[in-house]
Amino acid sequence: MAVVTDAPAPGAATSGTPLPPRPRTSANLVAARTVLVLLLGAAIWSVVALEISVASMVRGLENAGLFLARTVPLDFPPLGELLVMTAETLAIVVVATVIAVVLSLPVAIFAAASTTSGPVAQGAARTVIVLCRAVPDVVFAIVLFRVFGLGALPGILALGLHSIGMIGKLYADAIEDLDGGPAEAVRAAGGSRAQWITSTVIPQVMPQLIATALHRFDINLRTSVLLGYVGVGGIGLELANALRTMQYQRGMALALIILVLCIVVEMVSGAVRATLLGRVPADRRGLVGFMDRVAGGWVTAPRGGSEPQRTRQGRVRVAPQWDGERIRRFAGVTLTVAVVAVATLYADMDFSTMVSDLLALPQVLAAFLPPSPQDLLDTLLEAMLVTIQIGLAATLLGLVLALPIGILAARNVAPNASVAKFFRVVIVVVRGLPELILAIVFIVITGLGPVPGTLALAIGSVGLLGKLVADSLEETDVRVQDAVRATGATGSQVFFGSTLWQVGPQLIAHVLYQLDVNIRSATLLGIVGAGGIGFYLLNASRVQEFDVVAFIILLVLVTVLAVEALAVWTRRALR
Amino acid sequence: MILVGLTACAAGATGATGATEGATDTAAAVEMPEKLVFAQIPSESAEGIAEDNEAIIRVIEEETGLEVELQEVTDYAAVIEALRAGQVQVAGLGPFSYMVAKDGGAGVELLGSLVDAPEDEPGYQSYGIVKAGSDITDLAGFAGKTVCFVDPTSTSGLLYPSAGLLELGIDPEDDVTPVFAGGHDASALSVADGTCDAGFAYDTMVDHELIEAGSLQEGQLEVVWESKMIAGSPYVASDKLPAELLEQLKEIFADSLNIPAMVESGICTSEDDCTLPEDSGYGFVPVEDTLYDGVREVCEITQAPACKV
Repeated sequence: MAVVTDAPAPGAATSGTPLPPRPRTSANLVAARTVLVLLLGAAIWSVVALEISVASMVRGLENAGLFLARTVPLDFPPLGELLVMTAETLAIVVVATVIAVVLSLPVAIFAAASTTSGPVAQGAARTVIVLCRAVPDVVFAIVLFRVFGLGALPGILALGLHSIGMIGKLYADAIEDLDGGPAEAVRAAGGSRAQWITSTVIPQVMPQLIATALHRFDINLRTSVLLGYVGVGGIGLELANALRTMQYQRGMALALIILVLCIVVEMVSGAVRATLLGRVPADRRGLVGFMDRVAGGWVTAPRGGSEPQRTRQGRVRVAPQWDGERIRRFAGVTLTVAVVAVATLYADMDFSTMVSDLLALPQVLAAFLPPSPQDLLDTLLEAMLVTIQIGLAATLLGLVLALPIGILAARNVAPNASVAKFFRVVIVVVRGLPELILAIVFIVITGLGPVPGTLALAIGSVGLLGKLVADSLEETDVRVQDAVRATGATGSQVFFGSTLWQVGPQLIAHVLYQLDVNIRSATLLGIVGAGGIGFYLLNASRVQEFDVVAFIILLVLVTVLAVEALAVWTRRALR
Repeated sequence: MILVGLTACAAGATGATGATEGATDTAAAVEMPEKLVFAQIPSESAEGIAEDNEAIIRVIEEETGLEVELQEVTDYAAVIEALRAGQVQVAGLGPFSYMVAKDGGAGVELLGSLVDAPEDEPGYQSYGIVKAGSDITDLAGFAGKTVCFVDPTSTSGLLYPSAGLLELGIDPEDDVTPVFAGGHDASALSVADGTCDAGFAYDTMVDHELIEAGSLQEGQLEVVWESKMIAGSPYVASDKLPAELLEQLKEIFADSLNIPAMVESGICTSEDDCTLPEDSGYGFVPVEDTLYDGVREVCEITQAPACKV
């Protein structure tokens, strides 16, 4: 914001002098834009190469109708059985998420620039995070089944380890964004590293810690369904068995239950997250508000200014008093501990052989070495290409669908509040849909192969991209829009002239992130028969060709890391 | 219900004039498809399917002049669904999945089954296997153990073994810990490496195929049980194909898809060079639907969930 002063700036433009030349675009920016154009081209080519067309979809609708006719009447399992499998699924997901949080926190502390102990530790921690993110959970599951045998443990560890990739990264980011003041104060008073981290960093970052854990819980719940296909228990396994034996009435009933479960969990955790991160004003309605009014405001005791709180004996308090907020916190923590304890008992983990299994780890890993494609190199490379095409095409289709939905869900753009609300509900519902269920439905509509996988991922992308589009639109600087509006622009002119233009860089960053996610998900869809490298991964592990499994894992790892590096670089260049 | 749907399509298609687009994917489509899609469930090592079926595909391509595309699938259910939807035209099924497809109205016609000699009746056995040196000596010893089955829709990997266990009063769901290995090879290998205490797989997989592939050593597994003879695994074609093409496919399987004929037509250079699935020593012979009544009986006995067509 330049301040206009009366004094003419040196060399100020007087009439007649030529304008200064436009700043040249940096080479980086040109390169980044080229990459984006190339990616768009590649995505369009992928859609064509995978033969995704509206015509084939229309032809498939007849099949879909016939299929749906065979799924009614839905055959719900008996309530007792249903509760048992739901509990099993939830237990596995709870334990997995807790393991991920417990492991992620130290990793994140070493990875965050403000709390790390040195460049070596930071590099190591960041490497752990990147690798955990790049290796899909199903791959972890396949390897861990080999290590620990059957049971819930491999599935739990697989979900947990893969989650570190996301949780660790977000925790590290949250720690780096903290206000360094309290930590500095403790250090100045002579606190050791362990002391200032535990007394300042962790309490400050706690809301984000819980919010991120809840967010990951949603994601893990959806993934646990897919893990049913490789033998992890719960509803996912029942669904896989029902579909494999063509009991579609049971299968679709289970799919519906999973869908409802995912949406309910998503909504509950969303509400808790919003409260935690202070997006919802603490109102004084309800029971707490009533007690508060009765107790003259003691329940939500006001914080005194700089006066220290004192106990009845007149000593300065060192712990917060038991007011409503602390009771609520305590109850929340107690409940969480209880849930985790019950889940741990319920998840049916067999630790008895764990030590001997871990001791046998070297022999197990030896089976994976050296990685070799055997005589499948061409086939595998082709399948990897198909996988990348699925990711690209799904991102493009997802974007095409997400843009209008996201725009209509943004409260400052949508024609009216109820339209925005409707599309927000649509986005939440879509986000709750497990991709696996979509893939299964699309396999029936379009036949086997990469097309159903692409469509499933495209719909899945709408959930995330739509939300991100809506959020970034709402965060735009409305003054720019007001200025354009003040010149007499119409609604659509305001939108295209200022709103969309402001969202551009952010939107591109989100799309690149989604591409990264989609390529990783595309590696897994082959497991349900939706094309790509996943099929070979599952097959090679089934027949215990572990050198091929290792080769495929490396192939996926290299691809995912390359895509991620490209995305990071492009985001930086466009910033 | 499904049959009603298909006949409705057939009725609707008669209204189509000439060879217009639109009525192509329906049951009564009488025009030649552009290509044939061939699917088979993966019962073998990851590189097995394409290699095994290479000869079959080449013969079909040469004789019909149509391109044959190999479609990878993960389980029987996917193949049956694809046949039903008309997305797969030729498929290799198991006896049980054939019964499910046929009786469930997926619309399939038998093409043939593999034998070792032209006068043989197509058939095979399921083996109950344990690791060499195991203290399990017979099928009764499977009770209470972790047992590897193949797949919920596998004939020799689930259905006949279940019938065998039931005859001894062992419930294949509750009295053992069932594990679905996903393939006959996977089942045998899981028994060999101790993942399962015992398991089931079809005879030649245990006797030859895994040993020739180098995945198992001779004598690593012990056979403690043999099932009744199971009717051979059939290859089928979709009945949505034009009648003359269907006839032609049946002829190909009856006359051209055996080792002597393939040597004569130059598909393979010598008898040893011919590879057919299941290590077949001869090739295909035509089969009748009644051959699979045995499977229907076993289904009656076991009442397996997958039997509900």
